[in-house]
Amino acid sequence: MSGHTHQGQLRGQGRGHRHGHGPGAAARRGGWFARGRDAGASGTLLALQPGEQCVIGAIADDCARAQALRFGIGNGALVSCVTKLPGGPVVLRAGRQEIAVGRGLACRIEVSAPGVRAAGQA
Amino acid sequence: MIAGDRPSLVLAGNPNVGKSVVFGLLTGTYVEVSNFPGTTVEITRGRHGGYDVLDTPGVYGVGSFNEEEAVARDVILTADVIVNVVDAVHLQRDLFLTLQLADLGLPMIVALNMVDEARSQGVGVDRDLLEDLLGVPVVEMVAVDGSGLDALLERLDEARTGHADILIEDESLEAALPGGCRADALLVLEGDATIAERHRVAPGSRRDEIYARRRARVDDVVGHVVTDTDEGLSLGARISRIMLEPLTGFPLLAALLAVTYVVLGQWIAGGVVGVTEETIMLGYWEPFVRDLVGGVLQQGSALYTFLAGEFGVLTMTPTYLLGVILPLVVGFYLLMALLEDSGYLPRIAALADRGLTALGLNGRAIIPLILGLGCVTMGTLTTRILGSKRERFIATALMAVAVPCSAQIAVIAALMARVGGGYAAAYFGLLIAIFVALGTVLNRVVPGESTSLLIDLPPLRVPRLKNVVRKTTTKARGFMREVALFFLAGTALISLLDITGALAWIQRVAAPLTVSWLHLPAEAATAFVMGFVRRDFGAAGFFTMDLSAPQLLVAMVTITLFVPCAASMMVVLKERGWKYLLGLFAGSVGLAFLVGGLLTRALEVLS
Repeated sequence: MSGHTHQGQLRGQGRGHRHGHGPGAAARRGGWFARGRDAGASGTLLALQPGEQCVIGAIADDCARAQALRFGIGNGALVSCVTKLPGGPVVLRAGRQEIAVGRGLACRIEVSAPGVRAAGQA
Repeated sequence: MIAGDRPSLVLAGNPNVGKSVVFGLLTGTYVEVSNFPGTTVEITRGRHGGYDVLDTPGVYGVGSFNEEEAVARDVILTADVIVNVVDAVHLQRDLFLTLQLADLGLPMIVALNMVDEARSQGVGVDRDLLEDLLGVPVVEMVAVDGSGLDALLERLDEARTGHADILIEDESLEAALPGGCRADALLVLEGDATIAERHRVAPGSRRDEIYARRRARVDDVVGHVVTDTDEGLSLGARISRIMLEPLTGFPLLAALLAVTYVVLGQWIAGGVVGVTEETIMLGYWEPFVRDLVGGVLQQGSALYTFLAGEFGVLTMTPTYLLGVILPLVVGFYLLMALLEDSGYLPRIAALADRGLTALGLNGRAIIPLILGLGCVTMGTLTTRILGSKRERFIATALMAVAVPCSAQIAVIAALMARVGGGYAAAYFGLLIAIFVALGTVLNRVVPGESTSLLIDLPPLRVPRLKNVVRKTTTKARGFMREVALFFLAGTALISLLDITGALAWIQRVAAPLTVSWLHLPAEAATAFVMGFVRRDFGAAGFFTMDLSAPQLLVAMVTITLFVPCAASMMVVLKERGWKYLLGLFAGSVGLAFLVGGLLTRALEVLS
């Protein structure tokens, strides 16, 4: 499940890098008003900027993965970022559905650019 | 609770799809109409023809992810017929549950609701094809107008099991739960720990695979039956954007809070309660009861005190419940209903998420916290919607310690008006600081892990007056029913303390603490004892005392941090258990006097 995503092709990928202190570490380090570009781990939902699209890849949280599949944002779903709250959740749109994803979870959701098959995608 | 003589007809669907409206059409009784994902905790039931009709909490699937889902699952599993209500605009999301119900092998009929809204938004749904693909009857409805009900009733007998996932083999179901029914077996296979435990088998591990295939089937069905022109997307989406964009979203939220404060804190807590409590209950009701009871019993006798004394079950209990709590609760539920039905509430949760994460909570906790400002008891009950035990632990403690209820805010605001705005600002500032500090500390020390926000933002709608009124009355009635008994017990206890002389004794014992530590008059102990019963009553106890401005600030901060009222302690006991209650009790009393004493000294040094 965990293979790499095609990070280089992910639109909006910024200077963010993985800190390797487990999920949420990057988000926590971002501070109160961190903007996604700097705080986000690249290749995850957190790096997505408002207006950009991506394809959902692996979700490293059992409960959230099941819940996301129910909402329609499971592995392989095309979503766009509506907005990002400073230090807060990423707001996604999938079809006519809007979903807010907390930062702690967003950094555990792998994404890839549209048109690129994400690792672990069915 | 579920079992009955009649066959059961169960309404199932995602939150906010009009399930409860369909329920109302079927049963003709008054029900709650939910919008915010996760606020319909109670099951509503009624009758239609030969059926027992049950409404379930809105869920996105059948499982055990939270308490409501577990409730919905258990009701769904007992159904003889399921009416699955789906929102025609959001089939992509809603059909997941539909296909799960089909996989579970439960007889059902699909009510394709809100077809008018779908049409106006440029969404077309091919009903015939959907019916073929699902294998169950599909009827179009506009439940709020009552249209489609005839078709639903006409085709109710045709309810049948839908086309299930062919890759879920009978052998694997049999292996997962030997000899069990299909629905239970599939849930075990999907890793439902509760159902597995119920049958004493190990939960399966095929959830990911089954869910992924179900999602793919939904996408396939939607691809075939839905034509979406993207029309009408703009307006709602644009307003939603304004609500969520940081530069506009936060000022909008602040403005809303200001309006709320004026309406609830000033109009209702001040104006309405002034009439209901003071004029009606204290002015007419209590003298009337005292005359009546005094005509039969000797004034000052034990029974007289119990019935019509200061804390009497016929005097203080109705005055508090009807004069103070009822108007406030109605006001708060009205506000919540408006927030829920408009779809704004989940957006507030998104805005508050960052701040609440620092306190070990997520944005969802804003709902109990907002309710807690109305009444801590109400807020504590609502912690049920939180995703983990840890979050319920933290939210309950924060509310019990550092969130003053609206009745208390009203009394405190009146008292603070005597000493000037600076002290009032200091009071609220201190309380916010303590709230944040306590949350931060609890976030560090409470074991476990908090869940992250993952919330559906329903489309924005103009709330329908009828729904808002219905929802407010149901919720207020339910709440009053829940607290009335607790409160009655609380006042009865205080009356007994009063009659036996224990109250006076407590006042003497507590006096050194209040006098030498807080530098307050000896009578302050009475206020703290009253504070056990109701928070604002504790604050009101200081009304008649001649306090200096710093003394008043100390008294108000201490009484706010001091134990929550009897009713909310009862609810804490019920929801969290006695160990938690004892810890909370000791913690809040300790913190109240610690902060109070330190503040006393700080203010004395400053002056």
